[in-house]
Amino acid sequence: MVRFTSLEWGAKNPYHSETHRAIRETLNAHFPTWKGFLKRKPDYDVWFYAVSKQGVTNLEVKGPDISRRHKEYVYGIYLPEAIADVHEYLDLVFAGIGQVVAEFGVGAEEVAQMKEECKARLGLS
Amino acid sequence: MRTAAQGGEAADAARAATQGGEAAVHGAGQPHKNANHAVSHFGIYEIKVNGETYKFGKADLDRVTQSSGLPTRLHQQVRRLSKTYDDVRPEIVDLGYITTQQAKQAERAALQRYYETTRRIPPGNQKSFRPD
Repeated sequence: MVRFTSLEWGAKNPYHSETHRAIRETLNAHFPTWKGFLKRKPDYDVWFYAVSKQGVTNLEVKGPDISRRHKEYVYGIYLPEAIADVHEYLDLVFAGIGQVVAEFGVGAEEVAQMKEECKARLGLS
Repeated sequence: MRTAAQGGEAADAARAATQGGEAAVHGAGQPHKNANHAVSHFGIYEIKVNGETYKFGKADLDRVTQSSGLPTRLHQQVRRLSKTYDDVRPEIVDLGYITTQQAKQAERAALQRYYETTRRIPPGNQKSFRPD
């Protein structure tokens, strides 16, 4: 399973409410294809935090925190404070997710496809 | 990062740490973080569940998980709530370096403000908070 949570740390994320469900559903629809992860950790979850933190100017991905007890890999996708609109927000979120899933053998094309599917769920494409 | 709390309160915190430094000593000469005079990088968090405030609390923002930089205690709470609820959304307000006592006061003030506005106590604070 893939979890997706917003963490507002001194900065706001005005796009989370309208997008989080579509992002989570899209990621979970593709999760069974992340073979590079599932072969190594078949019973683990992946958890993404979209972090809106004061002072962050560039996209940065941190992690993973690996919990054997809770069987999860946790990543922080630190978003820049200035985001123009929901399109740029999704571009940044999927750019961050793309950096992570590249390590699971997921290519840029599939990440682009996930982003388009997410936009379609939101009626943005 | 400078915050409003870091002005006079930070000075108070430093003074309190100096004056009370001999009490509640823990480990290698450092006061335990639960001691009221202990100084640390605190924040107040608010966890919203499906858009509604579920809990206010204080967090030690120096206790983050090294690799992701995420506050460890807050993640544990979000994990627990995520098992039950669809949309769990934490927010943190950075208070800077203050004492545990000041952080407790800030947490209580946030809860009291919330109570005065809504006449509700958040579900996650019902065991511990009694309004004025």
